[in-house]
Amino acid sequence: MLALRQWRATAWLAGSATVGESPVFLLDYLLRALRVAVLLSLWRIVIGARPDASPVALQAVLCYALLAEAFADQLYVRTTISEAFWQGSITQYFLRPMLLVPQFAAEMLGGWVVNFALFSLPLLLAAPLFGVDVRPASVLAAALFGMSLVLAISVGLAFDFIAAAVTVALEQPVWIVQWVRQAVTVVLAGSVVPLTLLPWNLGAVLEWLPFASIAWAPLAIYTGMGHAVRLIALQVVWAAVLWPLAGWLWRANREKVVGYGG
Amino acid sequence: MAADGRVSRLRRMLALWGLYARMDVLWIARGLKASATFYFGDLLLGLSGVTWSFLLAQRFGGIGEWSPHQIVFMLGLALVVRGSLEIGFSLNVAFPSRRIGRGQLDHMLLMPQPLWMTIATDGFCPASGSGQLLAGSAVMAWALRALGLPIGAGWLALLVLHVASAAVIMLSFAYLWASLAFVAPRAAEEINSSTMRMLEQLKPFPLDGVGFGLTLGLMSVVPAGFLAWLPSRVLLGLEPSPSAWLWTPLAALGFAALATGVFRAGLGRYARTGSTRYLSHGFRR
Repeated sequence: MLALRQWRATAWLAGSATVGESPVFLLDYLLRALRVAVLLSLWRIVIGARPDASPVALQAVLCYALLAEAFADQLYVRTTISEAFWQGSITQYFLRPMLLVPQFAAEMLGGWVVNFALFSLPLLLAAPLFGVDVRPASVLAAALFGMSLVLAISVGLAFDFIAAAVTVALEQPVWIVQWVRQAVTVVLAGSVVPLTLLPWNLGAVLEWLPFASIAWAPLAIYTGMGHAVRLIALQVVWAAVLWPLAGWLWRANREKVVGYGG
Repeated sequence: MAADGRVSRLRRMLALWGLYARMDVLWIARGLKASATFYFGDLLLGLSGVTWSFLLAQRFGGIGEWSPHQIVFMLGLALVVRGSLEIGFSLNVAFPSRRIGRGQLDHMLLMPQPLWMTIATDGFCPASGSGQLLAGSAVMAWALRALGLPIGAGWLALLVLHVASAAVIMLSFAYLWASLAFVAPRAAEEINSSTMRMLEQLKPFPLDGVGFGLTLGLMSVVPAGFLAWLPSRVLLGLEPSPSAWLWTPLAALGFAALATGVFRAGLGRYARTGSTRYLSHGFRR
């Protein structure tokens, strides 16, 4: 019960900080909405001009693109651990009566709740206005999507702590590790382009990598583009591999963390 | 007298560019591990931003009416534009919301020179910032060869004009949004990350056929269309209007004027309020 209260209180603090500070964060939602509109138009141009060249229907790709934006937070998991290194506030996290991973995860959750209520939900409700049918491929696909999304978050969180440990181990500025992570993820995770639409049969290869487990897997299951059982099995395997690796890397490097302030 | 003043300012700027170029080379020489990681990290990020557009063009034999080689040219141009910003305006000069939000604008105001001169010279990193420019130039050259486009001095001048104009638009857009940080320093500190990401994500696509409303939005509210798409149309000879070569430079003038006005208004407010981001013992609020 105590742990649950700690989670809730931390999430509430993080969420209310996002909303309470300034309405400027709403502008970010406007930019994201514009981005969705452009991406949907582009998919209509790309596939609409050459429908025979696409192995999946345009409507499924549109649903994939809209869902990718609505669940962007969950499909590219980022806690504030990098900012904590950067600002020197990491020292405060070590002093609190709560484990490190739950602290950052709860903070992240608080931000997600705000983003989901103010952006994702309205976006999903407005999907018909964009000409997108966001219904799942089947009832089973919707249920498996939920399971796959939880696994995707788990794999993404492990990646975040691996990136944090690597930042400390290599003594690199936080933004460089973030750049590399972002660059690799954008192409390999399938969060922008469904892997099945990549040329040279690249998608079939990339599906086996851990990056595919953080975005492609849940989106492909929901839209019926991928083999649900295989994708979920791969997610379980990668979560089982990456969490022990993240734990080992963090334990090996956490004492190298030095906070100088922001 | 006015001409003397202009010459002296130009000399001062050249001296500052020389100084910052030397400092940039010294930074690389000081630690190859850190500088190489930065260089390749920046290059990787730039390439990843345009890779998926390239992959789609390969998969579908082009995007809309654009052939794969035309798409590759556009992606190269997009990299060159971003690369020129990396060379001329690194160190958060192209992300002014961070400097304003963190109270670091004071450092710029303390310099014994006009603020515009500091903005124009402070982030000059010709060595460490060259990754995307070199990669983009190589990509563009490869695409031009495949397209068999005749290249002359006039075409090269047009290319330079469009790269410079697009860079001015990108920078103006950053300063326009960054002015919010004068009002909300903490909340808007990272607003330029969002605006830059937006431009980066939307620039590698041809906008033909996205509809009038969206095209208008992408040439005004988020001017991604000026960064690669419209310049590429002009440079590849796809734009039939004889005055098309003027559109991007004129837009650059318009965006620069607007950004200057808004930024100055914010600066006026900053002169009254200052920054309260740092506590006396150095941590940020």
